[in-house]
Amino acid sequence: MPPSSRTSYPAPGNLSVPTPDPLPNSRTSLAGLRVVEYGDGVAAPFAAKLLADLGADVIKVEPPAGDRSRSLGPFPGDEPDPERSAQYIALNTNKRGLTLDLDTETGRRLLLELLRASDVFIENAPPGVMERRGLGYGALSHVNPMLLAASIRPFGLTGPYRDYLGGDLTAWHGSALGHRYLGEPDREPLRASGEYASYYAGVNAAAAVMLAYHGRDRIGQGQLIDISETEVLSVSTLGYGLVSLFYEKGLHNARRGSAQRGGVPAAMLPCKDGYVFIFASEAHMWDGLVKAMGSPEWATPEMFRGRYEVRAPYGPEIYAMMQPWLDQRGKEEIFLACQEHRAPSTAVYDIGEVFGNFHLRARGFFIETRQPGLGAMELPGPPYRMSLTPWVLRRPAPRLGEHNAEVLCGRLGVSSGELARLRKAGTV
Amino acid sequence: MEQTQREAQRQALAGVKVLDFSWAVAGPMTTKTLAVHGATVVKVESNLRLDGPRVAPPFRGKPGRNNSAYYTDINTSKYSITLNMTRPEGIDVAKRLVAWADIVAENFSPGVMGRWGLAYPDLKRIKPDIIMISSSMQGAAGPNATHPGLGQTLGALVGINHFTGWPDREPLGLAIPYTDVISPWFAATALLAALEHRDRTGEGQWIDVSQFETAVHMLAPAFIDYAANGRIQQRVGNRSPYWSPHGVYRCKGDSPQGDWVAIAVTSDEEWEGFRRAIGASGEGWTRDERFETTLGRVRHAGDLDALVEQWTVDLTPDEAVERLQAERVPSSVVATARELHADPQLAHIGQFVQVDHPRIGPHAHTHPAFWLSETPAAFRPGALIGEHNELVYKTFIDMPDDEYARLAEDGVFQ
Repeated sequence: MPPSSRTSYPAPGNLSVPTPDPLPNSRTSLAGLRVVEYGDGVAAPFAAKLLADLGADVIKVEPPAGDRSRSLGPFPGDEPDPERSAQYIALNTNKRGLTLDLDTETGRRLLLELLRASDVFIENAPPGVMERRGLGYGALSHVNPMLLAASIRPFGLTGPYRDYLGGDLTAWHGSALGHRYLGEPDREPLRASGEYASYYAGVNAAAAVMLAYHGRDRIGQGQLIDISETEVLSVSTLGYGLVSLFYEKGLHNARRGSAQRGGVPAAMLPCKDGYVFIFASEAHMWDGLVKAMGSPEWATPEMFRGRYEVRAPYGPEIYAMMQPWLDQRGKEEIFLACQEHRAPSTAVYDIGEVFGNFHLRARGFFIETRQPGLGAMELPGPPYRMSLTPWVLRRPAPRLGEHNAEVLCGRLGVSSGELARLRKAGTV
Repeated sequence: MEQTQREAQRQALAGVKVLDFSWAVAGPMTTKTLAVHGATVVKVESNLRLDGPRVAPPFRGKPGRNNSAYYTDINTSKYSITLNMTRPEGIDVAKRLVAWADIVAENFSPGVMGRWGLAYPDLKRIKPDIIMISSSMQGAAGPNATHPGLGQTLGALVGINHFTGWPDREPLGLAIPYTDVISPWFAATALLAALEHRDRTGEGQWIDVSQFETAVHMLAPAFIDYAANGRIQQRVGNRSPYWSPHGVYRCKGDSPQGDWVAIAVTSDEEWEGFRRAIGASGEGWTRDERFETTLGRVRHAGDLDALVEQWTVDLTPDEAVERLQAERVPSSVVATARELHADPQLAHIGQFVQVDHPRIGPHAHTHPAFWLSETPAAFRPGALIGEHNELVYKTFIDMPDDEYARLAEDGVFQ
């Protein structure tokens, strides 16, 4: 297959991809797993969504004012509306929604009743809040010793920082990622855009819950899962760069722009219509890159051949010699030339270009959902393709309190008269 | 950390057998998670073509194939065998290992397993309920499936590099193998769900992980913003579109690249806390009506950031965080690797586990970023290459002694 990498910009809001069947009868791997989420923002909602997408029955509990994501954008047309937050919708499809005021005795009682008949509880309340409400792990395991309870906190459940507040920015910088890897020497340490720490904590939580679920079969009891947003980054992203020998050898604290530690070339460089990421860590990658550039005389000396460490001393010279070739070409042309010679250098895409990426389109990655009141909307689809129990988008994100009656009356046996009283009192 | 038999049986994945062809980082990080939680993971290697991290720095002493700290950290608690897959006898042995396994893991370029006769349909014939997971750059199928790439280059493809940086400068991107460190947790989630399905139904399956696609999920709101509003999100440095102050501020100190504190005020309540924390030094400007509302603070973020730094610059990062957290303001020291090593929080929770490696000596290995209270992780050092050949071939798959000797002599275990 000849390498190629066209991208196209679809017209925003007018996208034609086939709508997948809702597949109501398809088999899912986690059918029957009962999950309750008390999530706010990104981390816990994302963890529960990953389980929901695998077929788990997820009930999302929100305070009467709703998950914070409802008040944050982006909103279609930039008009704030708690039922039209793109962040909320992306993180909460496939769930049912229940509102409960956990600051009331009745709200807490109903949550505990729900957890009594559930397998998993995932929450990311601020430090201390659940404990003050009498909803710490001790209370939960008392009502249901088989419960798998995952708590995501800025710094974890124990230790000297356990009560500290934090968010994505503090997690990123508390993890040392900013100082070590990201930024420029003359500017302050920088974070990655997006909500990296929170998403990352979410997927770690999902994996941990699945481990604990298997563990429950082995040991016959539930357990507590403790996740720190800061440690998720410091360990999972940086961890293996922090091991003792790196530390002993002083390989840290090196913010140095887009050029990477390790060797040359490994940098984002400007080209005619944007940027390319030029990377050649192994000898054959360098050979491929040289061929892609048309084997210019400057690039062929023997001293440049080999892994990228050998070229490290010549970084400024190599980048400067490469630049005229880049300046005359667009990123797609450079990308293609490199791929033809099996060199992994790539175009630097913006969000729109990724959205239209023809490889993702060919794989049917973006999936259309119909959100009531909003019409069709494309969301990122399966993060993994399972041959027998596929990832399925079954239902839109819930409106605030949409399933109050269904869950409270259907699952907990609350009478309709009692439900009316709860509504009047603002408990649900 | 020595385990008793009883403890080992109490691990989350006790008894789960994994045949691990994975190499480099993304695959081995997935199987490390399984291994430290009790799965028996047999890593298939070869002296003829070494796994990259085996020969990647840092080393204890002179570079070798058994003393990379990098390798041991991402291959903790696994068994290592060597097998020459260029020999038909090697492939036959691999098939016997498939019959032993519950899970086969690999992260080669699409097509490699098939050329060995070890694609999913082949494995299924050998063991009908086998679960196979294949993780690759862009997935097993699609027009760019065979493009070469690395975790670093995928950061450029997925859009994170373009919109990470300062608004007034060129994109900076992430100087990390982005998808190598994201995709393992997605892969582990899917794999454990497939294992659950097999336990319930006796059915195995194949899982295709595109590392590209896992990374798109982490940026979902930006993609929806584009789909809905046609907006291509741009570089904002440390700022937030919703809140201010939201940034990194210079502090007192003598570190070569500066000493910094990260502060994120994300509500009016936290703004009040911030005012209390800075006390008299902010008396004048924190009452400025431009900063009265969240919207006003975001609109005047530049001026606000400069004023915040006038306060932080006379404090050490620790002093600033103590005062801010006392008033419930989200904040953190901007850590360096040095500080993480000395960090009391990480020390308290046991983030780095001292494991005695036969060639490296006592050495800090990273614990997964989550703690299971009743089925904790357990650590053995990354294996020497081929260290477990006898154990695996003779005991796990019952290879007769004479056959083992003959194949070893014949170079099949190279």
